Amino acid sequence: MAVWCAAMIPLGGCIFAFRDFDDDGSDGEPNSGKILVRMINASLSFGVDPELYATGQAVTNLNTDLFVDANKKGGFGDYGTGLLDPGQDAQIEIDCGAARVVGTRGGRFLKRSTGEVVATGQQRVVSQELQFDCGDVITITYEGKGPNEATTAIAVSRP
Amino acid sequence: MRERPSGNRVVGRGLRAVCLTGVVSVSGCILFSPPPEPVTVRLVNNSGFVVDANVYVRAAVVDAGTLFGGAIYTAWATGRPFPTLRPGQSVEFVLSCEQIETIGVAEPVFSDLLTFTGGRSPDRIVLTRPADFACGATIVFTYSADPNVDLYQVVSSVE
Repeated sequence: MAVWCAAMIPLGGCIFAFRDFDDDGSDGEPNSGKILVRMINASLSFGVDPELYATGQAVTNLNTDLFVDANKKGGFGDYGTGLLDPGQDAQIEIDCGAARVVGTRGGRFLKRSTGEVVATGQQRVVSQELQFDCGDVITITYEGKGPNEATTAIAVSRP
Repeated sequence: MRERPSGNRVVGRGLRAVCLTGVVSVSGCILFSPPPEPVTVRLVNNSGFVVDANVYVRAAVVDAGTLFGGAIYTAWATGRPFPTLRPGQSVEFVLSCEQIETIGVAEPVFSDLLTFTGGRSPDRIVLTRPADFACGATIVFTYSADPNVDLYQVVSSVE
């Protein structure tokens, strides 16, 4: 801890100054930087709702701590719909402090003409400090070959 | 500019360079009192989970609502992505006594980064100075868990 004598005061004493920290006792965020999440719709027949979720909180139950609407990521894809057309890919950055756990329910593969869900992929979830670190790239690939035949893969790389 | 002694006050050059808290008595003698001993805080994770330690520190005596209404104290986790303790990890940090009049832990979370299981402890601990600890004390928060009986707890001790 940094301690130094900032100013001598009369009568032989001095003022001690300590490392700054906020009135509430914090001294800033320990985690800065971002991760990049790439989503690839490798299917040439179906659209995909990637069902991407991220949270900065501890996760002790995926359904209640991660896969909730407040954690769902959107704003990418055509017109920011959060949907990927066949063959399309998209990427988003997420603050590392908000990406303690990142995952997908598996993705929903959609028939383009009707929006009907024809298949769902497999749930994939990764944790910061275990499978990835701040600054890494997470790539999720969605592949749908036919009705009820879809696979979802997740990979981590370091740029 | 050279400082000159005044009256019967005797101040040695060496002493003027020393950073100590002191007062001048009526007789003109300088009475030095050393700064109060710092407080050591030790966080001990005896569980097999990653633990969100959820430590709060205030430089004033405050009640539980005020303490836990502020930000979590994270300075001890500098360089870490999150203010968490790994399984079996112990962390120690030192605060000047003036910086810590109230310290507490609220509802720490125990999580498994691979299986996404665990739980939140209901425990809340508030310690204040001088009622519960003094300058120079070592405060220990020990986190433990038994998931078989859904037990997640933190206990404190003062050495």
